[in-house]
Amino acid sequence: MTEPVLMKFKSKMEKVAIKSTIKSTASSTNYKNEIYDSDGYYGEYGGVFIPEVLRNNMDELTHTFNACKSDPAFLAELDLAFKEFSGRPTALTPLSKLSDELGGAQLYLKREGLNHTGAHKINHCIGQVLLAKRMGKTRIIAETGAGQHGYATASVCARYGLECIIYMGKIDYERQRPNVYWMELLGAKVIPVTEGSQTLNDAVIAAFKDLIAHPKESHYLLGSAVGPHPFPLINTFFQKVVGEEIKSQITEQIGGLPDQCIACVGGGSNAMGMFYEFLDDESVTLTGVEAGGKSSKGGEHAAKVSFGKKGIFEGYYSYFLQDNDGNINDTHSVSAGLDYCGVSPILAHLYDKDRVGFSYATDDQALNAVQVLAQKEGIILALESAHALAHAMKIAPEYSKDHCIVVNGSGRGEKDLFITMRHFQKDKMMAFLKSQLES
Amino acid sequence: MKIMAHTVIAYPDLESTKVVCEKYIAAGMEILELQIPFSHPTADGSILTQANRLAAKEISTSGALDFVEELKTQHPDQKVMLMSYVNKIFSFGIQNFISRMKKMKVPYLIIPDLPFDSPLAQKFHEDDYVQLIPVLSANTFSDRLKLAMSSKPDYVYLMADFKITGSQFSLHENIKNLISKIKELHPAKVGLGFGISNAEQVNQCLEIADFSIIGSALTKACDEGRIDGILKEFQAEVL
Repeated sequence: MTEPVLMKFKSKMEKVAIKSTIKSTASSTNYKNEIYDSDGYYGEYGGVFIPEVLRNNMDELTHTFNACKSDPAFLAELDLAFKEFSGRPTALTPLSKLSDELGGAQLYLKREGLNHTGAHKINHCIGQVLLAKRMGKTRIIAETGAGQHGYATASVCARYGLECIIYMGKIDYERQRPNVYWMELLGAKVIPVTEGSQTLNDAVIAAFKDLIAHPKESHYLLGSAVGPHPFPLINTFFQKVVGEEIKSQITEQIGGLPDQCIACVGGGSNAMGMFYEFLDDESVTLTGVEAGGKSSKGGEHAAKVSFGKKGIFEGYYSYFLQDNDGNINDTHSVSAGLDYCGVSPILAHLYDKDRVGFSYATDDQALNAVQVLAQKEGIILALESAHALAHAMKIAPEYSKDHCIVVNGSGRGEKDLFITMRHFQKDKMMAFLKSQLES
Repeated sequence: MKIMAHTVIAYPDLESTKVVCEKYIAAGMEILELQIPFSHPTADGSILTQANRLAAKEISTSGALDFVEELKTQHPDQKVMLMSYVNKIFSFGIQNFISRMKKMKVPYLIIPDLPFDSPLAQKFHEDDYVQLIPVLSANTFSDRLKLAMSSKPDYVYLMADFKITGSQFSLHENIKNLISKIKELHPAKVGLGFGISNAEQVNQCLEIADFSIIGSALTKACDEGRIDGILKEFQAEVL
């Protein structure tokens, strides 16, 4: 194409040149600024791959976010909602008994599960609903897999008086019935999606289609650090409070920075929330743990950085689980929150730059971590977060006692009742369900 | 007939697509829009989503391109547009894809999830032969419109309303005005699509646009064995 595009390239190149000048005079790493000032690309990743009909929505959201992110009134409202509605700050708990037993590094757990609605998801839900209010939107659309993002969205919509429509794959709708009930109790309309594989991907597509049909009055409250620009940036911004709190809490507890931060990665919202604050602290190792599922065979896991390849889907360029012909593969994880085919473009970039490392934990390792933590520390962790803990438990014995590892406990595990009980106490669960049916 | 007939290649199988394409050509469809199937089409309605999902298991991108090439060999004068989602083409390799388009003599490509000003789209714009057909809607503002038309495309695909394919048909109030604005910038032929299912709606579109685009309704008619009937209706009633 002609001039306008070339001009865009030119201005982008100028921006890059300016950035590299700053880099050479300042510290050797400047990832925080690079991400904070992003125009939608993180290295080669990210972008805005959307039908033109959605362009205005994305532009409007970008403009509103850029205005709000340094507006003291907006930030004060956000902080107050974090505190009064969600219960922030969440605790940083030393896992002393578990660490002693493992006989190596000292583990700490960031208790995001203590948030209202049970996970870190509420952070970006509050943030995005405040943005939606600024844009004068009256209707919130969201997708949900396990139901946690939908539950948080429904709760925030009820509090701020917005209509709430939640899309959920029909299979998820049926297997996560308790969360459907909570969403409906909170006044949301939950729509089961019967197309495709009837899981999270199909819910995302249905939500985008709803936005295409109702672009003016709706805001799509996308639930992870994925999707077209500005969503990866927006959700990272609203989640970065997690890492900020960890930094001040760990400094208070041990008098310095942790050696490692570990978070599970589905799309990457809790990982970006934890990592962002530490990106320029070179001494802190950052590791994302993906869902290794049942095996490394296609369709039996959800580890896209470990096993996926580069592609463009749902609005962004990143790593995806796909076949050799560009079709998206089905995924599997015992934890619905990690059961997704793509990963945050920001994390893909940080992986390429060797700033964030990746590993994975299997379904069985995650289930084991849930049980161990419950019995050693009295905390019931979400299966998603248990992937991060499983990895920490695996590596802790390799380190000495003065090595500090913080694990992001992104959610609490009560929501997994039907999955973990089926695994640990199948007979008792069946007997209970039978007795309920008979009564 | 001033209709662009859309079909998903290899739905339900390649033989059926061959048969239906021959029917569309015989009925005098001005343009065929042939979709290379993708497992997760983000901007199609339920009928075409299901067709894509099944067909993506039936045929590869390369196989779909072979099919179009053969069709073009048999019907060199038939106008054809290729359509797919960006990941299919990215995965195949953009330069490879462009080479195949040249070889089969099809210059037109529709990628609904590739914005015309993205760095990736630039690779198509840089090629003298291939044209990315812009997909626009009633909320496309004038600065974006200028940018879209600056590549001087022969055709523009315009959404009749804020809908997904296969929805109920309606015409957005801004459409007529938008078509004039498009024509002022560049004399492209404008097609109206999304939700068109009968001859009356086609004629309504043709009052303001150059052609109308039909997808889900034709696929549904094929599924239900009504395709010969609906083609006859179009031949008899479309102005």
